[in-house]
Amino acid sequence: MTGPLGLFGETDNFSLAKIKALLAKGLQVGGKTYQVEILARHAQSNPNKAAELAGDLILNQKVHFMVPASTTDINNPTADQCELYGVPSMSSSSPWQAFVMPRGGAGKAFDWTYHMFWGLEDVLATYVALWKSVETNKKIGLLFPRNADGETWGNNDYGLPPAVKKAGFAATSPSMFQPLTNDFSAQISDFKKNECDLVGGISYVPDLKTFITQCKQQNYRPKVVTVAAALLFPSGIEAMGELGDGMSTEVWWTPSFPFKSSLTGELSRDIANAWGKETGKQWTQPLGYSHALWEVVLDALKRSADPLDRTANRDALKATNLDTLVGKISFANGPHPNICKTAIFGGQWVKGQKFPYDLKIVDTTVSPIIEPEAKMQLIRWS
Amino acid sequence: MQWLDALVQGVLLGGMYAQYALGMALMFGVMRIVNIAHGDLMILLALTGISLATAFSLGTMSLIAVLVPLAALLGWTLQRGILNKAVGEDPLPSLIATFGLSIAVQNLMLQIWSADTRSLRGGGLESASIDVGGVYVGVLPVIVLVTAIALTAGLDFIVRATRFGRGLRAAAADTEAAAVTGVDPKSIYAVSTAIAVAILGIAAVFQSLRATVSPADGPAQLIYAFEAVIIGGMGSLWGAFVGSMVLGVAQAIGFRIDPGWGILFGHLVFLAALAIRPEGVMKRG
Repeated sequence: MTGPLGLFGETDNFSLAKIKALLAKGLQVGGKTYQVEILARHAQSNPNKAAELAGDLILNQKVHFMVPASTTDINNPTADQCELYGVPSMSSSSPWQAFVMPRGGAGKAFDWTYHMFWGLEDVLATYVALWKSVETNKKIGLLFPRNADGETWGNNDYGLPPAVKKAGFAATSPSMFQPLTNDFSAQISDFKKNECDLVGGISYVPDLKTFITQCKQQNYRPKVVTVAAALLFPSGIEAMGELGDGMSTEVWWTPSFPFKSSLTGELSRDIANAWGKETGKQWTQPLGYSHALWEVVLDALKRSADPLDRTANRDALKATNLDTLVGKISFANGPHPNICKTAIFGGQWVKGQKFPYDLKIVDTTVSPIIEPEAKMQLIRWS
Repeated sequence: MQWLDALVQGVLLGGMYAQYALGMALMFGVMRIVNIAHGDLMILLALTGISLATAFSLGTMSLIAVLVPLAALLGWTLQRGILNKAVGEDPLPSLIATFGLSIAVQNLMLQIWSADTRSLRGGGLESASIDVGGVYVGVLPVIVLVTAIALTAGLDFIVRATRFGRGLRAAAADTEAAAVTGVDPKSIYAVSTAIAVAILGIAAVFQSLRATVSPADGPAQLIYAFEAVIIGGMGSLWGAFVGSMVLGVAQAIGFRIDPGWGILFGHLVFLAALAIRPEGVMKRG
């Protein structure tokens, strides 16, 4: 995948190559060996393109299984096509509400499309836990962009503002900013006036860089800066320069996950190392999910009564109960019949050894399946 | 105090817009070319600059020294190779040419640099500031503003007082008559675009210091340059500068009224300017 979501595609390509090598000799299902043909299509970060490609794959190429990747813009249009034409689909990497709600799944189950990820309630709880774990004056400034993400995160009924207030924080929430704003001095003066020790919310890299640079200029030094989106990838934190040290965000997967791959037996650490060796780049969070998606899909095919039958594949997918690289996947106990919730932690970017910054898990309150690697530190402004 | 601060930040913001607007005003004034690829060229130069700075560990000053000649060469080649073939009485061919160029440059950048967001390290310069009676004035924004003033004044001087400037004004006023009197419009055009893109080279370094750049960012900055040029009067150099100030201050004041309104406020002032004085605040005859 290229375009704005290109960073998600990098790990997908890497995992796909591994899976293709693994399937070179075919897949054993019920004593028979099937040749598995994987048709990779390029959605160019474009929802319309994704829908068009999905239609072609389903109607002309007659695929038996669909794996959209990734994030909402690609997952949802592809899943809609799968639902329409009756093809099992397995996706990830967007909060489950984003997969269910816009597609009209609030009150009903989907027949064909399944998804594994955490939800908005988890990330909010993680942020609050992060902020409670450090010594501050409990006053927080909130930043939200005026777009679909910002409207969700900043929602006064179910977003971050009510969550922090409930946890006993005083929130300063200026109205939402337009993405690619060149001047944040108004918000900064607001945060300064209200003595906010913490800054939280969601932002993209350019806005966060402009904001944090101006914070320093305006002599405003928040002790904690926790934002979603901008700090997902190493390139994002590196763009902050020196000012990125100590910023925090949510973490969905890291090489310190203790689980083994059901396909190769590799640990998360091994896969991250292989990625580092082959690409020369630092690991990124979607890497684990890129791999785990294939675990779920191939497991379903193996258990399928007839892997050439879409319904049989769907039934197998529905009955999934598998320990994967990202944890246990089962749709039995999810918040929605088509959803399996996965782990989420609080993470902090600290100065690294091999790469400029390393992401350390500092809070595991919401998903206590592993121990924190370090304790959350306050930002040291030098 | 709050409003004084807003005014100061707005003027500083205007300095940044002025750096984008100046080259655009020059190209429009001389050739009637509306360069849609203006923002993308800035991003291209910024990404080139970041790669150069990383590869040869250049400081900010030496990077500008390397990048500006490179930018000028890029502008010259662009005009000689593409735009000179499209420029003429009809503004449409050049508009379409720069539109295509914008898409081509964006995709080229995606191929070379991927979608990553990058920035330049200024060793603390980008976030340094001086406390002037309770208003924090950023050092980098001041440098940007001073550079913008110097560039506008310098360019204005060249256009008014040099032989090249006379040829430039002649070519702008009447291409054919200028050609009859020994001015070669095509080479004037090439030098103009070289200057316009060279200025973008400077703007690119500052942009990658104060914020970030990624291949798709160009059009977002283009709109402000565009508005500044129109507020000031299409083609007027000091007009572009004044237009940038108006836009910067309007946004900053808007941000203080409500952080969600700043950019809209800038657009409204732009529309008001268009309605009240469509020829621009500084347009001469």
